[in-house]
Amino acid sequence: MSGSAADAGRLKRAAEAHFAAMVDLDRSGHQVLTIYVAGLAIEALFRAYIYRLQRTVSKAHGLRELAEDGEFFKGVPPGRRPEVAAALGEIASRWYNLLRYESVDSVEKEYRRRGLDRLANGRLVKGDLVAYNREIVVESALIVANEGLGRWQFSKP
Amino acid sequence: MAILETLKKQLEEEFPDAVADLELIDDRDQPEFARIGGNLIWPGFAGMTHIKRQRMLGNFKDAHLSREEQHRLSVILTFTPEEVGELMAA
Repeated sequence: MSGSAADAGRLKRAAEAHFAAMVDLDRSGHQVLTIYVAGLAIEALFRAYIYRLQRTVSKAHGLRELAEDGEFFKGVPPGRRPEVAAALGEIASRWYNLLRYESVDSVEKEYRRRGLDRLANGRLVKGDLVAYNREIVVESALIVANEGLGRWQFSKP
Repeated sequence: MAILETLKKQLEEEFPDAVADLELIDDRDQPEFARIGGNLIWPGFAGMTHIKRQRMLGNFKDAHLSREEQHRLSVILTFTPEEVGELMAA
């Protein structure tokens, strides 16, 4: 069944609440839940965009596929597209649905396995690896939030 | 809806020349419990990361709002006037 405008509004409000929760979790230093809720907020936002088009959300979709199905990038001006696409890439490479069952040490191991313990110049990240990646995820999620929620409010559908 | 007006006034005092565009965002049967969200548009955000902007907002919340009032808040997005102009032109 296709989504309706009411479904889109409901998902948008959920995304707003989840972004607020992400910010609060970040301020409280909850590493894993901050990252998990960031992805959840993005997922709700992209699902809202899909419903806004009165389309159906398929099962088992990743964040990039949801963005595609909702034509999220279609409305992003070319000048901002690289920044927003990069932000989504940062989140997609660090977020997975099973994060909600993970401890901080298991996330750290997974991030090392994924090579997320290295900077762009190849050097190892110094300090708390999960906190470092959490900062990247939160900053990236806020870029996507400003784009998606801001465009919803300030520009035409 | 006094909390909306109070919060808007406090934000615009804390961030000089800002526009706090707030509203009740939940579609609840009991609007007195609906959450507040919106935008804070401030030239001072220029050149600042989004995390830093939100952490400034967090400090504002801690300084000015009770725990119950903080629980009423949904996300407040942070923009510069230029960023809003780009979104409106999109």
